[in-house]
Amino acid sequence: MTDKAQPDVNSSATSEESLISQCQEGNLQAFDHLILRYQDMVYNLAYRLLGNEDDAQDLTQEVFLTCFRKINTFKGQSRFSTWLYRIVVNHAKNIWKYRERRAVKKHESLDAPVGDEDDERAYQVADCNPSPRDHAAAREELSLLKERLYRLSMDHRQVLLLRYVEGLSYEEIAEVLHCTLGTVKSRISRARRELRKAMGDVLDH
Amino acid sequence: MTTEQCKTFLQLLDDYLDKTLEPERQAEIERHIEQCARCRHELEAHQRIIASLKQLEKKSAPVTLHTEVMARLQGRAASIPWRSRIQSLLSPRRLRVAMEIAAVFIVVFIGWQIFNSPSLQVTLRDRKATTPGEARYLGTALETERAAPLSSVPATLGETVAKVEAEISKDAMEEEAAFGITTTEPPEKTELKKEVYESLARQVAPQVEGVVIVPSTATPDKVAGDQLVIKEEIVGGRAGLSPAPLREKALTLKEEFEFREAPEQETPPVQISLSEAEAIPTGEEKLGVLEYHAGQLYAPPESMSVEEAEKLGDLHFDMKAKPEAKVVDYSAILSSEAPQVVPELPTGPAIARGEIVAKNGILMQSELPQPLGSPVADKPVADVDAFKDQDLKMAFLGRAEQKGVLEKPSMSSASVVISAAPGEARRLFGSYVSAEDLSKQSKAVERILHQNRGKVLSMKESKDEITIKSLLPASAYRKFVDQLELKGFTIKREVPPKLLDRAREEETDASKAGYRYYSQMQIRDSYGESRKLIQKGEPMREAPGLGLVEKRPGVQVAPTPVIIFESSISITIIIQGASPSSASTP
Repeated sequence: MTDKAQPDVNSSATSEESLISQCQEGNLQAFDHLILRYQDMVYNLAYRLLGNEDDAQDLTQEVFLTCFRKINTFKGQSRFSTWLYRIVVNHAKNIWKYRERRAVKKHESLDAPVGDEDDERAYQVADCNPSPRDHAAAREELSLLKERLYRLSMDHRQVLLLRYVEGLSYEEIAEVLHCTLGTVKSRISRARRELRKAMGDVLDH
Repeated sequence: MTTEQCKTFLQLLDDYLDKTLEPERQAEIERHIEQCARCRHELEAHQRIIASLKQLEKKSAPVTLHTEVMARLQGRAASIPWRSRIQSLLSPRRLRVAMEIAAVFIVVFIGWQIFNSPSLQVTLRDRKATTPGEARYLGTALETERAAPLSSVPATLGETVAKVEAEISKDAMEEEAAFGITTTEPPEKTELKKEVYESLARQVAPQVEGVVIVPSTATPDKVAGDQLVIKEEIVGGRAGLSPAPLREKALTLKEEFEFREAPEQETPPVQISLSEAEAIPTGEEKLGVLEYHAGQLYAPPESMSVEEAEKLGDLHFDMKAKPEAKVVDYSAILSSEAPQVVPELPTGPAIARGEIVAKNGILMQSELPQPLGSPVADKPVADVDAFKDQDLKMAFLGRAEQKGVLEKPSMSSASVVISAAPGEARRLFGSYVSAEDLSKQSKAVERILHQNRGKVLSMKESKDEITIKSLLPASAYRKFVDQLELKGFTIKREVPPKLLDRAREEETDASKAGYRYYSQMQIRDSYGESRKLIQKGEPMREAPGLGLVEKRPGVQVAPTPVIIFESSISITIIIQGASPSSASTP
């Protein structure tokens, strides 16, 4: 419904730039459109970072609220999406830190097919009983990867997702994370190697 | 053998995957992986991981999400009265977040609602004095701010805010806005705020040690567009960062609110590690049982999960190991060998049994060892100072803490050097810090130390330097550093060599949080390098080896006191067996 409203801001020709400047003047309608434009992107990343839908929803809401509050600080020096990514990763980090401190459960990924116990068993079985890979195994591999992703630190998960899922360039990631290109490169490398290690039981048959 | 080539391959793996190698190099790699099965497998593994990551399906935001956000910004805000909106801030989850923010970044702002106007003056001055650290703090605390459409705000308040904003020039804004607005604040808002803070005090204070919840008017409400941005600051913290008279009041308040007995909570086993001492769980918690056998310590399985143990101090647990009794000999650990877990009961009967209890985030030994049988040596079993390898020592400590065999809560020793500025830099800049200044600063450090349950071991004064050697609980370490920073000290932290790699990677993140990581080498080098560059007239930020200081030109050699904070842990702990004199008959 909102898609069709407000002819002044909804036309596809409406440039992001003008949308943003309207938001900066406090135009809620314009902001509405900005949300529609970016909510999937934000939610998707949030979900991948935190591993469950509830937290992802919370995070997405917080991101947009922050976005609205801070939109005046967006000066257009970087892409808007980059700016938004930065808010996402910062918020996600806080939430994760909070969760880690509580350490109730690291994640309850809805994708994860098995619980921790089963997983431990899978570990051992895989080690001594190599079985031929087939299609089902490939699917299994994907779901294991989803789950192993949460064994990484937030920092490492962030770079992997930004790089390989969101498809950002090193430069863009550096901007999002506020760090140098060298840091980004080495962090991605380290993160990928770590994930590879975590996937050892699956990949090293 | 192709080990050299394999090495090269691993080095170039990233570039190869990114396809950024020069053609010859690329061909070289391809030739190698054709021949080398191991590298081929490695490459495939990485490629499969990347492919899998790219295959992660895209999720769409829930349809309600967008309306919910807008409702929070607009609809709900308009239809729901002020009271409920502010109260919704007090959901347990938000509270918990706020509580932890308060616990980590410690500031006391004392506002006029409690102490009346005279104190406000002082508070504000103090705030100005600590701008850099505090700006960071505010940045965090203000996450609780919310925007509400002006239409939903009591008319008088909206007008007031607008008027005050208009009246106050940009420059004076920060300073005066708080006064302007608060003194003309309509009573209903004052009342609401009071309610919020009281509620906070009730709910948060019992859970955080030493927290003082006070309303703050330090940050003015603002009109942005047609929104009134209400900064409902949940500001709390530890006394001591405000000037003395305020501090006293805060302390009085503190007694009222102070955490005394831990409420029951579902907090899982406390995670303490010396490198990340910022977790500040509260309460008392039984973590498990520990048994002491002759020459061995054994934690029965339910007392500690392998995962938890691994989290503490980098220990490795061989999951596939056959479950056969192994003997843990701490002398082996001390002689720098990788510690091993005892998966099964050790031989021989238990001599002592005790509980491992975590209290306020510090693992304490509780009633251990309670002698059960035969006497053991009266001597300390191990002196951690015998460790030469810092990392190993930390790992050992972590493990000892986990096992609950520390005689005392882990104390990390911090050597704090207050110095006017490095000699050379001082000469160059002609800066000077008076003895009076120095002693004032050292008192401040002491105060903060005490607040963190730390104590001064020794204090050495020289002409332009005071060295304070101190002990403080590992769990208070981060808080301590934070507080120092809020006080305007420049903190340089040293990390053990093996953590350096990680630290370097974290440098950027750390700088955002206001920390700086240094290796010893960097510290030594930085002065020389900066001096050279200064002489050459180059801008400070170009100086290599200055770490993150380079991003804040001038900090390194500022005429303000510099604190060199050595975080290298030198802890003396004693692990004791049951004393024969206290041994009771079996």
